[in-house]
Amino acid sequence: MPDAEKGAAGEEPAPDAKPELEQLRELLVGHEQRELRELRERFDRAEVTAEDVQRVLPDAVLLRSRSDDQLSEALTPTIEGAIEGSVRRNPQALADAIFPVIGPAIRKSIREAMSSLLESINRTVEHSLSPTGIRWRLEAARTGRPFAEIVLKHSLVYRIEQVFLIHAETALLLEHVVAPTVATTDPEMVSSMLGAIQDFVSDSFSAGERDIQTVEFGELTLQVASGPHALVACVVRGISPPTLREEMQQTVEDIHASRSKDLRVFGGDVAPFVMTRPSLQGLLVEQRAEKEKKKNRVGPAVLMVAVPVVVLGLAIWAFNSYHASRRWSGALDALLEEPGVVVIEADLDDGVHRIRGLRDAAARDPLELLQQHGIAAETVDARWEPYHALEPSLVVRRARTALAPPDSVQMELRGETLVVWGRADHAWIERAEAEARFVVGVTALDLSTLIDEDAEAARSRAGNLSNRSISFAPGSARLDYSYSRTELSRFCDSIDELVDTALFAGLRVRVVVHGGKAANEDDPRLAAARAEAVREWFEERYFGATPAHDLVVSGSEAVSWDRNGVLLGIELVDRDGAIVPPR
Amino acid sequence: MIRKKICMLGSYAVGKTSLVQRFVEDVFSDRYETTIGVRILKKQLQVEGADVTLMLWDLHGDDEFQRVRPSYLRGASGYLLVADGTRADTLEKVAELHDFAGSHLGDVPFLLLINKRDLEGEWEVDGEMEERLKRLGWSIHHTSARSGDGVEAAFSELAHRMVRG
Ligand SMILES: Nc1nc2c(ncn2[C@@H]2O[C@H](COP(=O)(O)OP(=O)(O)O)[C@@H](O)[C@H]2O)c(=O)[nH]1
Ligand SMILES: [Mg+2]
Repeated sequence: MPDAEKGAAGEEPAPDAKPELEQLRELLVGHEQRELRELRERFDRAEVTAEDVQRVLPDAVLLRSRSDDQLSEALTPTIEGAIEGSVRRNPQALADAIFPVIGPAIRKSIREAMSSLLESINRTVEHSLSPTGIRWRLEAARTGRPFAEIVLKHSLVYRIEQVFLIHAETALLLEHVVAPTVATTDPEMVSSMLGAIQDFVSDSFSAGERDIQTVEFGELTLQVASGPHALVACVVRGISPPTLREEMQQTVEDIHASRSKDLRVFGGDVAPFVMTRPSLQGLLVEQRAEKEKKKNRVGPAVLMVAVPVVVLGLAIWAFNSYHASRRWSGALDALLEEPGVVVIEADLDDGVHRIRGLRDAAARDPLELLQQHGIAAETVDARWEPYHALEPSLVVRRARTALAPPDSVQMELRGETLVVWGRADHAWIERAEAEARFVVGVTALDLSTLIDEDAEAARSRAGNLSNRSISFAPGSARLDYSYSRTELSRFCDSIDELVDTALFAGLRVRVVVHGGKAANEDDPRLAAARAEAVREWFEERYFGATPAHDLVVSGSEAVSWDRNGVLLGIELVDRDGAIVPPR
Repeated sequence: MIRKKICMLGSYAVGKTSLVQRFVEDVFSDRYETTIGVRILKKQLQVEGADVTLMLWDLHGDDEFQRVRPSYLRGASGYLLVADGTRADTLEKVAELHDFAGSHLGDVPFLLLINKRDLEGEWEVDGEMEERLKRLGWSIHHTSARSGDGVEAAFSELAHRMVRG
């Protein structure tokens, strides 16, 4: 028994005096005693405790977490368990919830990576006092943008041509904007096809991951930024600006925020998405601003990059003061002459040849050039940032690499037009037509003197086949001559071969049936009826077997063909519907 | 402007591609479909005064032998089940595909097309099976991709039902 109680017990009266004392106690402190008993009961009953706790819990948590971390340490395992469980049950719920949070966080880290890239370029050009450098510096001062950003802007050539907003689940087009003067192919189809391609990729390669970020074709790229309900896709010509991805992601998030309900309940009605046009155009507008600037200034900025300028500036001074070798100077002169190479900074320090500059991918290897001038490769410390040079020889070289022409093809740049001549197969010509304008430095393509070998072959086959005739019995429009049927069959076999050849050349074959009647046949309807009989025969034969669009039979009207039969004409038709004459 | 995705479902060679081709105008050789296994065509029409664009998804050639991938169906607002009147087994396959589509899309509008009506003399499909399906509430059309009979009507009924929701 504790000492305190012993003491208290010592002062207590003898047990026999208890009844009176109890009465007295009851009188004096009875009220408090009852309260005390109630309190004790409360402590003993668990359910009362729970009720009380829920009343005080929020305050308690607040108080405790102000004083130390123990509470959060104690709760962490439980909460982690709960989150894990929720993610396992339905990961999408959490992904959707954190999308607005995680987006900005990721962008921040990208922005940091970008700014360090800008810095490194900044350092590269920091000391340059070339005319280019000075001009860029002035532009930086005028626009208040970092110098490095201006350099990047002039070094990379690009244009964002179209922006698609696509519903993620259905791959349906929600909205589409396009830069002025850009010709578009069916955006609804592009949208669905992109969806199908994404399905294909995710079904074939990885489990669940459906996001394709870029699809490249030539110098055109399709960049995709996706959110839970929609994605934004940009068609970029040239090298994509490094900031595009971030801007696209921002746009996706903005649209998810502003059209959240329309996206969630989307049932095919695209009208509400007209409202997203301004933010989609935002992705184009920035590009347009740059284009206009170039136009207004008649292109000096671009020319600056195009003309190789060896920038020695302070470096030359440094070099001279070191009395460095003639070789170094000779080598730098050679670099100055070399198209597609821009030296921004060069010095010779302790036997190390340090060079910083810009280099077009199609240019000669600068190291090789330096070696020719007697500079050992081990002593060279070079760093080249990529850029696109506009000297004709480099543009042609770039076009050759991009288009991979056969040996029989020659190319030359006149102005900004790539002139191509010689002979090539049709597939190559199509590819060249589609891709040439994406070669930086080429704005038009002239193929007028290029011979399409496949079209030539189709034309000469068509020439051989044209103007066959099929005879009918006098006075009859029935194709019952077995001879005529055999003739027609044979003709069709040749047509099938022609269709195959023509397909390679992107041409369709059209058979034109001219009905005829001999002068001594009386019935004026005979000619048309004969043409009709042959037309039916063709339909019968070709239905299902040959794609109908490759073979068109027309001309059931009688034409001046004054014999008892029909004349079969052959026409080749190109994609635009123009007739290519047989030879 | 309303846009909807529709899928074509049915056994091999029942005429899915021919029906789509019959329904849309202007098809000029598209090359991509061989690689990714689907072919997408587009048709614009008016439904109760509203412009509706249907994006029609059709499986390409050999892929039809493989299992239909759920991603092919994703987001579709309706589908067309196609059977070939001259092959009774294709009608059984349709029931299986209907279950599959229902499990991914839920209760969206669909129609059953029994195709090759122009060969009615050679039909194997009997009226009894058809009656049973009709009693289940299926809407059934007889079509011919060859003659064009019933094609436009079928697609437009589906479009109407999808738009009315
Ligand atoms: N007689 C007839 N043949 C048809 C019809 N529809 C399709 N076909 C033929 O059936 C074959 C298969 O058609 P296709 O459209 O490729 O079928 P899919 O495999 O379902 O896409 C082809 O030879 C078509 O010409 C039709 O309505 N009538
Ligand atoms: Mg097919």
